[in-house]
Amino acid sequence: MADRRFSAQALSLLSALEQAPAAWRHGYELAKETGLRSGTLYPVLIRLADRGLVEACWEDEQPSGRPRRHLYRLTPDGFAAARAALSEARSQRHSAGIAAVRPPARAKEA
Amino acid sequence: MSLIARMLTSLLTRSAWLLPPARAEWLEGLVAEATETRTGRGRVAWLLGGVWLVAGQLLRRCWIRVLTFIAAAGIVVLVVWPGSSSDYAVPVNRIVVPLVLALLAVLPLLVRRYYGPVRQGLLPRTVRVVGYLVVLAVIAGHAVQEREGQKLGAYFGGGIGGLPMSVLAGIFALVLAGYVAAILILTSQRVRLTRSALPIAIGTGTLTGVALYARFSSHLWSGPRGMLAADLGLGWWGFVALGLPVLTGFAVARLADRDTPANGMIPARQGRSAAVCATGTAVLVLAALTAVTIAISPQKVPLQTPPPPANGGCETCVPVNLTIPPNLRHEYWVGLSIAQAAGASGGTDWMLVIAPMFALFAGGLGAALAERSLRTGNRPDSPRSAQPPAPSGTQI
Repeated sequence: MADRRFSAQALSLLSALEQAPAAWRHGYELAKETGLRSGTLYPVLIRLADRGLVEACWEDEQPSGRPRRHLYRLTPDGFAAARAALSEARSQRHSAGIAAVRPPARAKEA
Repeated sequence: MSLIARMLTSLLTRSAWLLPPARAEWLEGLVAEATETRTGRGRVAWLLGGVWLVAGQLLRRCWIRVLTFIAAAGIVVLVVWPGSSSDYAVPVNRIVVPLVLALLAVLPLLVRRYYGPVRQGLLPRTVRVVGYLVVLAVIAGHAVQEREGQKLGAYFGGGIGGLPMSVLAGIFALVLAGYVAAILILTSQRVRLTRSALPIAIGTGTLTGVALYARFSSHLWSGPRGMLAADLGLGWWGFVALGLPVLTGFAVARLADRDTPANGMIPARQGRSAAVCATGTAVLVLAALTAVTIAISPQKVPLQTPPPPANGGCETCVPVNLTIPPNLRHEYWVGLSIAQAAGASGGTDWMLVIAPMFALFAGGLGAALAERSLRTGNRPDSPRSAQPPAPSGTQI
């Protein structure tokens, strides 16, 4: 994955997923955390999944009062790629003195 | 708002079959999230993201694009085909329009060979599909307009400047094919532009084209006697051919200096390309809107001034020394006005040819101004001069 660049949105998403790599996350949670809209979040998730960096599944059991959630997390390859890309972005930000990665915007969206 | 959300949920649920099963799951996931957590405008915005997702996924599939083109081309042929063969334009349209459609079908294959497939992302695919639809609208509107304007062609063959109409129609078709080729090249993988170049060029061009059309048709909707404008004004054309490309070239060249992808065009060339793209878009949008409006309402076209010579001399006949009988002179005048009313002040047809040439020059000027301003703002002691080059590779 060293030959691939990630967009700012993809980096933001990778950063959010990388914080809890073993946990399954749902789309709305990721949208809140990254500040991405659904029309941006899902295409990025799909592209990452197409490259084997993200895996997806449905919730096992049908919860009461809401539909089953579609869940996402990094694959082992995705975790390694995320680590490498984020560390590269941080080092670039450090050397250039500009922000290359937006930190996850936890409180951006209600 | 909840009604809109329900309608969008229903639309998205029903459109899941359009996607392959592996993709449909993602859409179902998005819809499930919407019903769980959001209300009001937030839910609508979330669901609109789903519409964007479906559109993006559909446009990625080649057969959808091919079917869209076949359907649109079929409609164009149906619109263009009717008419009496005594109308000079009808047989010309029946030959030229299918040839143009065949050329438009082949062009993507030719461009793919030299410039690669369409660039990743929804915008380049959308630009291609919408660009094709706009060009097809120009072809259909223009053909109908010619048909309405050449009804006396059986008596007086149409043409301009001694060139018969069939030759003019062929030239016009080649011009449109040039526009399509430009659209295809600018959205190809091997033409690497800064991310904002295409949105800026297409956005400003579309807005300008719509504004020009609003000016052109401003009196059309004022009542039953409302007419199209007789003259758009040199100032407007000046802005399209010079002002718009200077501004676009300047803005894009500056942005490209900060954010050019690896192996991308140099900023100045990006500025020129975006400038030509913006002007081309403006003229093409205007041409489509005016051609369709005139085709639908030919009676709303103002009569040309000055009228044809009082002695019945035929300006557009081939040969030009024909005389029109007195009882047909008014009808000829009406037809001539319609045939030549694609826009105003020289006509959009001509601007389709001329404006991009001016834009190339003006865009170069804008890009040169941007480079100059960057040179003065990027001295060795400025922080940006220490910026490392962008790493190479594909962006996800």
